[in-house]
This record gives sequence, C-alpha cells and structure tokens, in this order.
Amino acid sequence: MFVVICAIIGVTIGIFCPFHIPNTYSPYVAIVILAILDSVFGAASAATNKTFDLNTFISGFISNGILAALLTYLGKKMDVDLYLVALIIFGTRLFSNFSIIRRHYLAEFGTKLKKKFCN
Amino acid sequence: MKINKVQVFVGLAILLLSFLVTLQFKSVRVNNAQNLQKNVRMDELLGDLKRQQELNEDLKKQIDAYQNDIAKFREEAVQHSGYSEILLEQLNRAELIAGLVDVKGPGITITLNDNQNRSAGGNALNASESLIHDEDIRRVINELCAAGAEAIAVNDSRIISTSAIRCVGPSILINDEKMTPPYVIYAIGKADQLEAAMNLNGGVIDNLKVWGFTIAIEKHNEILIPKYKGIVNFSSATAAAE
Repeated sequence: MFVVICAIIGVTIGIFCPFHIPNTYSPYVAIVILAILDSVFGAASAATNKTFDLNTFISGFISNGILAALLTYLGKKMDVDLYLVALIIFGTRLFSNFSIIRRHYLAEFGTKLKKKFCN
Repeated sequence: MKINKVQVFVGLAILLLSFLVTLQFKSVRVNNAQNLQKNVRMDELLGDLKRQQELNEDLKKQIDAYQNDIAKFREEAVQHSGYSEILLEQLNRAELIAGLVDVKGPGITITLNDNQNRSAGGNALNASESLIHDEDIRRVINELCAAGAEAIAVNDSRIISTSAIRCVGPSILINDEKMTPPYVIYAIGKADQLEAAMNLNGGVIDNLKVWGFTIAIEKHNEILIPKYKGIVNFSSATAAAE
C-alpha cells in the first residue's frame, strides 16, 4: 500500500517537473531506470523467498546504478555501445527474478487448490 | 498502517523509479518534437536553396543570350567600317586580359585533394586540419601569378581581378560558385617556369604536403581555360583622366 502511494507521488512529481532531460543524457536515465527496476524486482523476489536483506538492497541499488551509468559513459567515449552490457544483464535478471516470484505464487496457489479439493 | 524500515527504502526506490520513468517519457516526447521542428526547418531551407539554384540557372542562360547578342552586334559593326575593326581589336585584347574569353595554351594543372587518411573519424580539430582551405588555394594561385601565369581557373571557374576565394563551411566559394575537393587549378603560362615555381624547396607545395594533402602537378602542351561566367559591374570605379 505504502509502495503504491510512493509510485503515485513519483509519477506526480515527474509530470509536474518543470524541466526535461536533454537528448544527450537520456541514455543514462534509461539505464539508471533499468538498474532501479532490477533492484526492485530483486527485492520482490528476495522477499518472496524470505531472504531479503536491506543492506544488500541499498548497496546494490546505488552501485548498480552508478556502474551502469559509468558503462554508458565509457561506451560513448569509446564509440562502443557498452550500455548494452548493462541492458542485457538487467533484462535477464529481471526475467529470472520475475520467474522466481511467479513460481512461488504458482506453488502457493497450487497448495491452496489441493487443500480445497481434498477437504 | 505500520511502516517499517524496509518498506521506507523500497518505497523510496519505487518513488525514484516512477519519477524517472515519467520524466524520461516526457523528455523523449519533447526531444522528438524538437527534432521534428528542426527537420521541418531544414526542409524549408532546402526548398529555398533549390528555388535559388533554379533561379541561378535561368540567370546563367540569360547571360549566355546577352553575350550572343553582343557577338552579333560586333560582327555587324565590323562589316560597316574600318574604324570599328580597330576598336574590335582593342576590345579583344582587353577581353583577353580581363578574362572574358576562353583561352588555350601550354600550362600546368595542379590537383589538390584533402588528406584522405585523416578525414575519417577523429575530432573536429583533426577534421579541419585534413581539409584544404581557401587560404591554401589562395597561396597556390598567388604563387602561380608570381611565376607568370597568364590565365588561371579553379575547377572551371576563371580567376579574374575581382575573384574572391572564400571558405563557406565544408566547401570553398570561388566567384560565388561552391567548390568541393578535388580542386583542380589550371594555369596557362610557361609550363616549365610554372612547374619550377610550384616545386621550389620550401615553396608553397612543400608547405601543403606537410598536411598530408594529395597533390599532383602535371604539365600540358595545351589546356583550355574557360571565360569568366559571372557579371562584372563597375559602379564605383571610373577611368581617371590623365
């Protein structure tokens, strides 16, 4: 519930933000968005497995974002699309985390169904 | 509703995430709109350019027509009297000096091209260094004049007393004609003398070679240099009485 409120506040600030990001910096924002998305999904999957650790979450959240932005910068300077590295890793982890969450709830749902029909 | 530390941090992360996503969506939309505007402006300018070029073509045709008329008048005048024959001779000589007639004779051609190795990639300074500039062409022409060249043209544009050689962005403007590399400089004169002047140790060509330009000098027994194609209007200068 608190999370949903936070999301709504974020969108509101974003909509009423008076400035926009120039073309040059939009790749960095995109990659940072992906890094945060990865952290959030990682947190969700850890929470479902009851292995969530706040320090891991915060450190991963910050360092992943910085590393991703750094890779993008380095890639721009070397004329190699290095941000693709971050893109692929984050994307892969996003899906694997999502599948962990999905399996967990699928299993839960399965046991619930069993209970219903066995009784 | 109970809020613990974990929820606060995850909530902050979600807040940042949603904020950035919204901002990015907005930015992409704004940037695309700006690019579109730029494209529209470019299209307009291209249209203007095309119209002006067409106008230029028409004007050139008009010049040709007028010059034909002049030639006809001249023929008629010669047929009428002996005095006009002398005048015609003088006129022909004046036109030869002024560069208003096609000329042919022995001479040399100098082909200048940009530094091919450095034009790919590199920073702006390198790109500028690998290009032939207006100054380079001016220096070559100056040297040719000093060596006794009687008629000079760059890529079919005749150099006359009022010719300007200027830099406009990536190309060079000579007699208001846009030129791109390779630049071929034609010069009529004593071919050996011109070639020797170009190949002087530490001379103009040596200086240009430092930048890695592709330079070729060829001697010819006969080259044709076209007449000046523009219009020369003297509105301020009049002959001073002696």
